[in-house]
Amino acid sequence: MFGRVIYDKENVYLDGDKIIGITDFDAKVGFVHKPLTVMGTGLIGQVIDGEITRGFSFSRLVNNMETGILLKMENEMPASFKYESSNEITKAEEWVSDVSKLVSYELNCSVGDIPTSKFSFDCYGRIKNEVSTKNTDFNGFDDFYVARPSDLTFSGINSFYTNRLQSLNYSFSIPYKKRNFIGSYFDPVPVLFSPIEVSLKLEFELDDASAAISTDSICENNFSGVFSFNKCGTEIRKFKIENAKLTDYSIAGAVGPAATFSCTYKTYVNNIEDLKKLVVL
Amino acid sequence: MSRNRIIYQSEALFTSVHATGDSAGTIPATSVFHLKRVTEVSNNAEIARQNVNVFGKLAALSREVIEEPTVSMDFKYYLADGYNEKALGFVTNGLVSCSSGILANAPEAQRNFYVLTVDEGEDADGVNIASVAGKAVIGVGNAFITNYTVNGAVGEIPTASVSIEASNITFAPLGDTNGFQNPAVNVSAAGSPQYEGLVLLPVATETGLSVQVLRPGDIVMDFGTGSLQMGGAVLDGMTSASTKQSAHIQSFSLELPFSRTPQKKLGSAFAFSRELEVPIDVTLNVSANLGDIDEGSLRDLICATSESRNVTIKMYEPCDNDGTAKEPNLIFTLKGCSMDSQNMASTIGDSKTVELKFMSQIGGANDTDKGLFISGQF
Repeated sequence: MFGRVIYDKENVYLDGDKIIGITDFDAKVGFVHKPLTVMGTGLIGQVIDGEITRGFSFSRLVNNMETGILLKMENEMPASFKYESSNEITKAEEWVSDVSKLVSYELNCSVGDIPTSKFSFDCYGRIKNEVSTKNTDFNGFDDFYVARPSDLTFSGINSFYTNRLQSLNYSFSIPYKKRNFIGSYFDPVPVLFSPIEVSLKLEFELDDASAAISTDSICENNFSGVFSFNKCGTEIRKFKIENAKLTDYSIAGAVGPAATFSCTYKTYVNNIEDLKKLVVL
Repeated sequence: MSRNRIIYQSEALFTSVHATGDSAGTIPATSVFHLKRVTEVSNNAEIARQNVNVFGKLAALSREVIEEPTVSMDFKYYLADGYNEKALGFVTNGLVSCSSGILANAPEAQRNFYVLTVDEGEDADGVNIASVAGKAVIGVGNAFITNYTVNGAVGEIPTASVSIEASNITFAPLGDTNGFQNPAVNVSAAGSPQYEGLVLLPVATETGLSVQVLRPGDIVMDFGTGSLQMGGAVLDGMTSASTKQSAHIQSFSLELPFSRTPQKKLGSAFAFSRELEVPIDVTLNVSANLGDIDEGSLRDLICATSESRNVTIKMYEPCDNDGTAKEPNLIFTLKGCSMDSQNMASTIGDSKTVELKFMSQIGGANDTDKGLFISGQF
């Protein structure tokens, strides 16, 4: 019997490496069943009729080891979620995906919370649950540094002026199209359809929005800059956005709190190699 | 020589007009004021940490400081002639609201506080700071006043209590020199470094005020000529008090809160400012032994226009509370207030009591009809 499985007995592995800094993991597998009905009998059974949806995601504290996954985002990687028994010394099992590909990434940073990033994967090939061995590698935590909201710096030509940044959301999604073919056992082949969209959403306490946003300059508005988390002189994480266009902004005020404004910028790249040049510096 | 203990004789409280001083953070002694008649000082620092728990490890990886630590200080002093109020940044001319400078976010609204400790057995009063060894200073930087309360009661010397919130606190042994690093941090610079400039303290002295302390018997309260709309207690200053016995005031508490919200942003470990939460309610609580009562009905209050009265608290020099010798030492005027509650209680043995609560709001810098106005002999 496993007993209660809690976070210290759970680990996520990607491409054979244990991923440190994970705060939650979520895997989903879905089957589309079609009922079969025929003349003279009615219902004779059910068959799988459609793509088996498989995927997982995990959230992680933004840290100095994050770039390892992003640098091989185009790879088909095996992934697993290992959980161990708290009651028995040797009992462990793994949920395993033989092939998985990163499909989206989202980094969130806001005042008062530790910045987090979310990685989402689509799975291909076999999904299985199997008996495993307990984790014996407890190294890596000493070299693991977590970013803090106060560690963020921004350098860019189109700066925030005097508006005070309260939160940022930096994300991209890789537009794979799944190609199914007869005889593929509902296991599609992912094909990348460019372009890849990179999005940046910023929320501010309002001070002077007109300097930063101007409808007259929508056509010329190119937002570029580098975001960096530096913890007491140690660089934790660095990423950038280039030639992004303003897609929307909003301004809000109410009795009590300070007025706010938010804006969203988007840029596009042709392929994953160009994407890496933005998300990993 | 090491101290066995620190008692009140060895301590003095100072405040500087600005937190930052010049560009380097240097604050001369002429910009630092010794707060006089201080009877209590306490300071507190709280650090909010967030546990970093991750998969694969039961204990937290670390306990990160995500938000600015909260530094607070409270002190109390005997009221005198408005010197301390002026040193704290209040306007004491009685013509405009006492908080007009604070509301305008003038540089004086943000200040530092310093608690000087001299050697055991030495009086901090009059000590030559530049030559006496064994000194230490607790510095509180980037401080804002969050509450100012005046209390007066029968049998007690009237006092003021002040609460502050700040961004930084430092502990500096001084040796035999005057001068210690400014405790304020530069919140607009990357990394929010502490200012490098030195703060110089003036000599602490309890002289220079027009009175030693004020006394409860020399306090006169005037509640305006109009009776309470709902009737009830007769209070000093009301027209009905000329023919009826007014309530015998036992105590009062005048509270002026300056609640502030720290403004934070990504990339800054400290709040870059602490903005006032508005509107600001000023509250006067009065406790009295009831005398005669005025006629009235609560229904009359509901159907009448909103009451607005000015309540004045005058504190005279000893045995001069008819104002014939000189002007009051200290005057607090709460303008545009209205009564929020009137509670009466009777018990066997004691006099019938009445508790009244009046409230007004702080007006803008140019508003002369509403708010708290302070004037003093200093």
